[in-house]
Amino acid sequence: MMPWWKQTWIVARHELSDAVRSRRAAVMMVLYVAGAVTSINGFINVLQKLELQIAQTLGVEALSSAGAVTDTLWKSRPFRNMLMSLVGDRSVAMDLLSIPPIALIYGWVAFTFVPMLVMLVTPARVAEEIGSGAVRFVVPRCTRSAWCAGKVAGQSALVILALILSVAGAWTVARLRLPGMDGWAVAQAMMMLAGKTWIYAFAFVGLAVGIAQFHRSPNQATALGFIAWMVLGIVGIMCHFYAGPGIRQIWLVIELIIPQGHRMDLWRMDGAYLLSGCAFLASLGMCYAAVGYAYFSRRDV
Amino acid sequence: MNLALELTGVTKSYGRRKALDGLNLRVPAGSLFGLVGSNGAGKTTAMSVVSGIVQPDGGVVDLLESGAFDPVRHAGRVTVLPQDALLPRESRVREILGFYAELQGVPPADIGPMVGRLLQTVHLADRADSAIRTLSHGMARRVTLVQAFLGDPDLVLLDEPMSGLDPREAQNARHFLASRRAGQTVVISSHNLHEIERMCDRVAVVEKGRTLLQDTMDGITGRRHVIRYRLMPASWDLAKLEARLPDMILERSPSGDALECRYRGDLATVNAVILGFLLESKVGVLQVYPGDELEHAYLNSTGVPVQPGA
Amino acid sequence: MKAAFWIPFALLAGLVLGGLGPRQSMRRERDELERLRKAVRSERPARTDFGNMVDFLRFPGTAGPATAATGTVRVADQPDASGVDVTPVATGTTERVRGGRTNLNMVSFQERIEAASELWRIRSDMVRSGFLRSARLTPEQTVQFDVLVEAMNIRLKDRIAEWTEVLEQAESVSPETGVRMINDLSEVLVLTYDEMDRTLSPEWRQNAGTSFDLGSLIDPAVAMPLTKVEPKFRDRARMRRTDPVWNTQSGGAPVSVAP
Repeated sequence: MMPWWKQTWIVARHELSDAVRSRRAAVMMVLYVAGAVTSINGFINVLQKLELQIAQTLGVEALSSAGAVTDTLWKSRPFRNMLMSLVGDRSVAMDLLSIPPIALIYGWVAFTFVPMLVMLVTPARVAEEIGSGAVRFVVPRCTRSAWCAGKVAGQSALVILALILSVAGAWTVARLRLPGMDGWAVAQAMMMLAGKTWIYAFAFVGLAVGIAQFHRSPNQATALGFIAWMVLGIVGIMCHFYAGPGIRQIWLVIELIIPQGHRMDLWRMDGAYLLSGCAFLASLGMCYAAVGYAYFSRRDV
Repeated sequence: MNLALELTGVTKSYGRRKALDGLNLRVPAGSLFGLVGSNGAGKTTAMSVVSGIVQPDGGVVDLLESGAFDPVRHAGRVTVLPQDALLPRESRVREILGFYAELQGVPPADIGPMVGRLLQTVHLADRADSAIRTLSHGMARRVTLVQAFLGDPDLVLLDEPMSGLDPREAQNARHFLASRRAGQTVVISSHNLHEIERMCDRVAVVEKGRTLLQDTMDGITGRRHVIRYRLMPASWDLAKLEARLPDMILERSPSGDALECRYRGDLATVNAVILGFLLESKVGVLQVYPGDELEHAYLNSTGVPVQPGA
Repeated sequence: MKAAFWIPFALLAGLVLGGLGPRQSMRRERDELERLRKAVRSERPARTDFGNMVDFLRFPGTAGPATAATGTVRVADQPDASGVDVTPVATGTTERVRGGRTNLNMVSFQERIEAASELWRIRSDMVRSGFLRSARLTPEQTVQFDVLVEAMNIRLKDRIAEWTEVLEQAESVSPETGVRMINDLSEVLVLTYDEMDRTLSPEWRQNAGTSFDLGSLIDPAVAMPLTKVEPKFRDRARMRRTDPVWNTQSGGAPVSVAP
């Protein structure tokens, strides 16, 4: 008898290779990479204009390429103040300032759009397999839990692939547009942020697989995935504003069981926050998928 | 008798509709078992229950004498060809078959040759690297047939395996099923009674979720001791023949081109009497065939009156 | 396997129960900090994100003081680790700028030098990048150039420190003292230009063009010792405002202490 983990591994491997070939996943991955590259390019354009304006203000010779003073700009006090106002948390802002700005922009794009990527690809893939009956060829050969876990793992691997491609694209554009950039440092920072984005995405992959197990229609599953993502986003905002003492503590609990409640932890450099965020997001992803599995394990396919 | 599959009082409802209503089946190990029944009789549900695709509401399912289907126990030993299931569209034939084989525990070194051999058998070796979406319906159906035989399982459940196959491929599939290994049990569900009659050695008739009939093919088709004749249309007196065979039940078609005789005793004797009478009456005899076809047995078992010569 | 199904839920429950307390207290702290920050903000003119950016572009007239005098700012080393930005940033933001000139009465010398240091880092980065690109220096020459600039700033700082001692002993600052001081400091720049000629490739002047100005690379922090004699400069400025002869010139003469 084949061990459970091996079944999961086989399903995950097949899921990845199959998903990569599917048109929907391929298109979404290309869009994701294009989004990251375009954002980086746009940011460099802004940077160039900013530096030009500063050069004019200071009466020094304007530089033809952007990035010569990026680090100095980044660490200047007014910029810090601006970032703090945006982030709303001084310690997070301080952590962010230790990341090369170009990598930070990449991270922001990656974090913002990864749930969308997941929700556009994962529910449809899983629901389609149930709806078309393809799953009937698999369930007599492995446990349903292995199939479910394999789907989560395979889709998570797909996200890794998308993130690696987006890092490569963003880094290449940055390298071409910013000749003076410290390539290695930026690459490291981008990879680190891609890793954090993956942890964040894992919770959404779990959610997407969980939702998809209730459906047979790919479109219905995708729509519900999107709705769930938006609802969680709104709930996250509500938690931020409504959490407080007494009965309002319930918002704190809710904040802990949604992915958005742990996003800030991932932006920090402090290991304690990171570890806590990772543990929460990983267990959230598993729980979401497990809720779907509880239904799927009993349903007729 | 070793049983590969035994269902006792299995029930399954979809809402108010009862798909299986106390189904009983006994499939001996090593048999080629046919499951016949009308649309909605419960054949597909029975197959799905056996393979774990559908959860039964009640009853007992015993597979290979080791309890109800459990992927942990039965993975690799029981495979199924579901009726309407589609293979993943983007997968390639060789890859998807390799995936299924690996999942049911076939050693990696054996997967390639096994897949190649099976594809050769169904004339799809040249499409091994094609994507499923590029295959015709019949080709895809043959791939699904192949997947059911990966890893040489002990029990194979085939739901309408010939559906969508052209006559040449259907014949090839029949040969393929006939050449199964010794001891392997194959259960075939089909509407095509002719196919079942030609391939299977045992058969069960299912109607409204219940088993109406279950026996060997010979037992079912010959149980009623019927002899049938196809005749040249002519006018002749049935009463005279009934007088010669007083214990028999004789039926003639309205147009007089078919005669059916239900008899007791020796076939040769009865046939000699009937043929002698027909020749005396100058009635041309086109064909004589003994026993009952499965179709007639099925129709009779379901209470539908059979027209002689139908 | 059935028991394994509950593992993620048990893990999550443990994390929620364990994380609720710290998160609650963290939130309380954050609310308190927010309250304090609001209190501080209410005591100074409102600043928006855009305002910060504009401040940055109009630097140094509207920017707040920097904490580090020279080198790269390490954010992790910021002293206000409590998270509360209680430094009265840009006090007198509006008073400081008057027709593009600084009002000496409202801002201390030290504050101006600190603000200028931050400006200097940006400016020197740009000048240095532009120079390195146009002068086409080798990596070794780049290092030599950086050493020369660093040496120039050290020399300037020493000279200013010496002048500060002189000024401290003097009763007031005469125009002649100012001129002598500028002359002395200019020598350091001339010396650096000569050293560049000796050390760098012969073509550097041709490549860099005539726009290259060493003065752009002077760190304002070198003028820090002058803070000790700030009152004397205030007296001089007051004298200029009341003296019709001084008023014929464009304002801001005290800035000339830094060449």
